[in-house]
Amino acid sequence: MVLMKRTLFILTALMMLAAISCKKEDKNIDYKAKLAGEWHYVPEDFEADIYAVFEVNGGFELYQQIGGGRHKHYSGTWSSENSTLSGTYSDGSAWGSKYSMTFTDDNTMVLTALNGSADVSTYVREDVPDEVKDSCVEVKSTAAADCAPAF
Amino acid sequence: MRHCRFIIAVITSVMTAASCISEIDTSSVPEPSESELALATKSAGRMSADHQKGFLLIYVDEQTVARIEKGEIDRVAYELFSGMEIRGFEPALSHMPKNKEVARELGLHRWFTITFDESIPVRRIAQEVAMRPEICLVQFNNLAKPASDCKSIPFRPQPKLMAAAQEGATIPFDDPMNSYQWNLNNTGDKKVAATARAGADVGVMDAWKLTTGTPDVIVAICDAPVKYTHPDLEAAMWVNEAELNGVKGVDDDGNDYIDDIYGYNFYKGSGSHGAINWESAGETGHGTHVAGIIGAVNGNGLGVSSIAGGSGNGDGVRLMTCQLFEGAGSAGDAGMAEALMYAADNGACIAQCSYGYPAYTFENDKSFMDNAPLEYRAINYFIHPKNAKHPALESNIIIFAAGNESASESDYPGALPVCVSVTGLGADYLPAGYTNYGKGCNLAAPGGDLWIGSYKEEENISQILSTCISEVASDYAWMQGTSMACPHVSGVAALGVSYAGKLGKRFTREEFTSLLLTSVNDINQLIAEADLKPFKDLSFSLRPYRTRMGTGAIDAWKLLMQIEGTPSVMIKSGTTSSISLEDFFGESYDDLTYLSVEIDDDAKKTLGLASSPRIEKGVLNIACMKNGSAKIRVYANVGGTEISRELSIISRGVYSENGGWF
Repeated sequence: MVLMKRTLFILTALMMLAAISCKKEDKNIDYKAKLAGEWHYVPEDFEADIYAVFEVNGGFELYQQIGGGRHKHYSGTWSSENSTLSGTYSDGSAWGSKYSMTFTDDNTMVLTALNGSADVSTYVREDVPDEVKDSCVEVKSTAAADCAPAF
Repeated sequence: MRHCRFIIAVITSVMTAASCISEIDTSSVPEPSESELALATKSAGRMSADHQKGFLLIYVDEQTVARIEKGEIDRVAYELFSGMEIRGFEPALSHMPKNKEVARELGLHRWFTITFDESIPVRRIAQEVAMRPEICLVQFNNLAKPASDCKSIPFRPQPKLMAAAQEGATIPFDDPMNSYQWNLNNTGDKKVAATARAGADVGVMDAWKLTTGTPDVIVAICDAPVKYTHPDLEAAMWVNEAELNGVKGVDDDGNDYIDDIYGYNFYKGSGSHGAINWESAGETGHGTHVAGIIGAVNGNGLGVSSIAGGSGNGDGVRLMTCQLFEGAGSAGDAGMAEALMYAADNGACIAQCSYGYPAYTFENDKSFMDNAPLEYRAINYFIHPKNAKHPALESNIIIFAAGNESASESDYPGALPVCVSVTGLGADYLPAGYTNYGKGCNLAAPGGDLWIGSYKEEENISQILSTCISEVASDYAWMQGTSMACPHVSGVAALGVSYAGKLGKRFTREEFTSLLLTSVNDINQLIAEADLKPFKDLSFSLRPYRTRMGTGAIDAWKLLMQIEGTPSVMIKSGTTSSISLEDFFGESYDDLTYLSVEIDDDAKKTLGLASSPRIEKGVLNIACMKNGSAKIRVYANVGGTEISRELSIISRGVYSENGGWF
């Protein structure tokens, strides 16, 4: 009985500590400001090349090249609540998951999918090259003038 | 009839005749003679009403050809033909192909011609030579010729015609007539046709942002002559520099052809001795028209624009003229075979062939192979991997017109699985009344349709405007037919090869053909929605054409996009995903016959496949249990031609319906 009480006490203490530390993180990190900018991700397990641009005003641009060919361009809006990032494409499709944001430094961001999958992506801060913007293929209802029409 | 088509009038073959006799009443007709039976066994080539008189092609055995190669041709001729009225015996190919190894592999060195007095019935000589055991095959030399009037409507700048130009056309070249070229940029202007549809074109406007063709792509125009002095074609012609700068009457480049500067004339009847000739009586301008669709010079301030005619800096594809027809004369099977070999040997990577044997001449592929063996072998010479010259292709591409008999199958040779057969559409994206469709047809393209346009000829712009011959009509004229649809596909293919070369990519013939046949827009829905369509003074039902015009209407932009990379599809791991094959097989994906899905063991392991993928009505069902990416290949059948597409499957725990990464 005593052992059980001690265990419960320790668990409760740990949970409180975790909660306090999270709160502390929420308070000290401006996720929106950190997220703003241009990011690049090259997955290890997939033949893909991803650039993402998060605007301060809540818009995003996504340039993704999967399996070769030119980048496809998507756009839409994002929102965040503390470290949780979510979004919607301009064609109305929801993102496949919400993500937890972690910044290991000013130039590295880890997005961890919150849909139960083990999907973790590590982005580095990097401008989208002009040739990617100029040669991308437009997808659905996005409307970047530089892009060629979707096929 | 205004549209142009080439046709060979064919009468009953010897073999068919023999079989018919036995079916009718064997007791009332005499038994066939020994020589007739021999010919029936060795007959290759149908005895046409227009076969060449005093001339036969024969295929001898290896022992005989070995003796001939040792210099014993006179002795062999004496032994084979003594007692017969044979006047000449010589190799069928007046110039042996450069690639001797491939030529021998295909048996091309074993073909010979025999000549005799034109007053002697060809069949009689054929029976006599068929009795010789050294002679394996006997082929009549069929003569192709235009069966219609091949009428072209000259471009004459009358006020009514000037007023009929399309509004809103934005072709980015300063060629003054291109606002009439709805086939390149169809704005849906009702002056073209009341039923004209915006976008019912070859999809080249966006494609031109990526490439307008490159000069290293040589397209052989196997057709009537290309007028190489035409102001809109001169700078687009393939030029044999050694001959151009050489001595007249001398084979300066050692390719066995004398003075072949822009190509060669394979019609031997006129005495022009290989010189390209467009001034004979009966010339129609057909070859020059076809050439202009593919490669008339863009941006030169003259005439028309073309699909692969460059950016205005002299950088378009090059056109090689392989003349098969001169006036009303035809080079026959032997000349057509030699033209394809010449094209391959001199660097062409695409053979553009707007001719064929009319539908129902041959029952199936085997029938063609058996009855036109020399031409069949020449086609195989052209596409042989060892004859590929362009770095983007492991073997050459050959494209034929489907034919203009309104028949429910393609003409041969286009119907062969190794060839692409092209059907014809009007400015309404619907089948034109003349076009063949059905078995053997692979792809549709604008061919023009006079009967949906204005009743007033001077205002009718619903055919295809291209270069022509001033000696026949004018420098520019309208024509229509699958003969015109075919070069649209050849032009798009030329753009594709140009772009693949630019990207440093390389494709097998099967891969490139698959890309070509899946770079299409759907026309079946339009056909289903339409009912009747005018043709001449009548109307015809479009119902039989649905799903039978090939995979769809060619789209240049889609081809270039496919060349850029393996298409990918993202699916969610841990569940069964259903993937529409539309993006990979074109908009007619749900009407195709899918054959199989190929996936190797490593890919299965990577993706954690729970079961074999399966396809139902154009939808691929696949269950991947693991995250990872791997390639699979899907096979389908289009008009007898097998095509395949490689797909990159990305299996992730995150999935969005629109394929976005987030």
